[in-house]
Amino acid sequence: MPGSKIKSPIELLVGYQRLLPMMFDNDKTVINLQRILGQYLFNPPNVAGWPGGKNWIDSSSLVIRMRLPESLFGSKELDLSAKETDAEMTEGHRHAVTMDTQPAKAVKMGKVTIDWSNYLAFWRGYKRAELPAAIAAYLLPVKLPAERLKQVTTFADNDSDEEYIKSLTILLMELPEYQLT
Amino acid sequence: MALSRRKFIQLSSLASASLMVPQFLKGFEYRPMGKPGNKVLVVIQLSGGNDGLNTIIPYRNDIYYSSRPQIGIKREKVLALTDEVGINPAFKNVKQMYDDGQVSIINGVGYPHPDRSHFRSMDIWQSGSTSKEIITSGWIGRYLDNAAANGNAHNALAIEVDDTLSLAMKGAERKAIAVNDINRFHAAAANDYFKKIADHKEEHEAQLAGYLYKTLRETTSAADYIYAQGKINSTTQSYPDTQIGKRMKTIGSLIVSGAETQVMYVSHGSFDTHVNQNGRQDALFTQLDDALAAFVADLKANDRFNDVLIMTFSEFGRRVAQNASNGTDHGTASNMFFIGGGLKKAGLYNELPGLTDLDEGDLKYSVDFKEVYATVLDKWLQTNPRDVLGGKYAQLSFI
Repeated sequence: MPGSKIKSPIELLVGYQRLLPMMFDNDKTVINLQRILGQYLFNPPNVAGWPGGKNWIDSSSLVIRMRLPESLFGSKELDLSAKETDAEMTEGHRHAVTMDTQPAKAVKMGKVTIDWSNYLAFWRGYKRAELPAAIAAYLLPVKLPAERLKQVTTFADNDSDEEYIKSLTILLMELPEYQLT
Repeated sequence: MALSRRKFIQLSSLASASLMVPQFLKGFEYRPMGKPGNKVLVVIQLSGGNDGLNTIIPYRNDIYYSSRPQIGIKREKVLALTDEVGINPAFKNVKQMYDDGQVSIINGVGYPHPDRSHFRSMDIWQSGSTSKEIITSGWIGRYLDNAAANGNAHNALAIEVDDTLSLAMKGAERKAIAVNDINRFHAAAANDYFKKIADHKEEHEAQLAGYLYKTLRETTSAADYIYAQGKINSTTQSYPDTQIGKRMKTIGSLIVSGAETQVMYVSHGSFDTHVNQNGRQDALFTQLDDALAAFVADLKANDRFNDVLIMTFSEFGRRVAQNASNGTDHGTASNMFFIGGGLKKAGLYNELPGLTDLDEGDLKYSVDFKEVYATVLDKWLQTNPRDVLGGKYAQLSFI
């Protein structure tokens, strides 16, 4: 049933990428995002894998997930550090090489280039009044109550059709509902 | 018969008083209120596996020096605590606190069947599990679960000064708040948009969406609370301009402001000293020592030192013998520091692990870390350790 599962960080990131193709100047950003969100691929916390479900969400990871669209697709800088213990510690029992011992690494996003063209073309022909409900239905797994959609819309940028679609999209991707699948 | 106004007030105040009592007592038992008297635990995680033998040093022991010809801390440099045991010279302020009876050092802390992987051993320490089980919640997180079940669901009961939250701080139901920079966290979490969408009437929405909105509401209100608390005390104490210094300053200002937070958590590192150990360890210890000196001075100036217990731990110690790169590799048992004005037993709590009775070149533990947790939970956080740790563990007598 839609909306009954919390997206894993990888599902979230792949979802972004499929919706709005992103190019990172700094390749490491891809890994750093995984680390910050708590799912560094091929590097599970233990043999049991990632606990998943509600474990993906705590106060900080929810805020990070809700801020991320604006950082990636908007203009806000993301300024976060991955933890020491998340750093690439070298495993091995006896003769390991030393790990990178810089204090917590700040995530430098570098430049992100977003290809909005297909996405914007998709919405061409919609009237402005139709857009909020249509984009919400497209992005979210559950129906947004009308009242909340109205609240979201008040934060959108009305300057042009393009800015309206972009800002609505970012605002909707920041909603808790977008964390579900 | 009509009640007189006076009679009505008497009766109703009696009624409300008797209704209040059980909850009041319950609240009182588990919730020593903020401000002076609120007991605070400050956990300092030494990430990467701190070498315990170069921290608390058996400076009369020839085996120590023959096992570590290059990296053993020279006898004349060690700051002596007793005739046989000393502390790393970088800990000059901690040494002073030790002399003042404000430090208790527990030696040989570990657990059966030690794991030498950073990740696994850190999980064991943070979750409070044995090495044979995997627990996906943390010991402080379960403390929060337990506090909430007993009526204290304060959103900022535990704070980790970092950008992301450690396993230790995640319970099954309740989770701590991760805040690195109070102002930035407030700006990120408590912005107009998030507050607006969080603030709506409970609707019959999908269960999970409800959980996310609840987390959002708790986060924005915690961000507001921490922001407000952080503003109360603009501390005059100067802290070192290092990462650990800044983070201890955040902790200090919240405690001095009288925040109701009971557990503060911070990490320092990395202590994974496989190569050229002494320079690195010395630098990290100096940073920690300076930060602790400022923090303790701040607490003392504000008369809160007796209410605060500082605890250090690392996921493991290191091997007795040095390696060929003037470093040490992953080992087992290590020591824990407890610093505070309210210690019952200061000094060296127990003997150092023997250097002749080794387990394949590694120290044998004498104290299970869960006994230490049980002690802290029971005697400092007024929580039944069994509710948090599952089993029953012996307790120590340093607090």
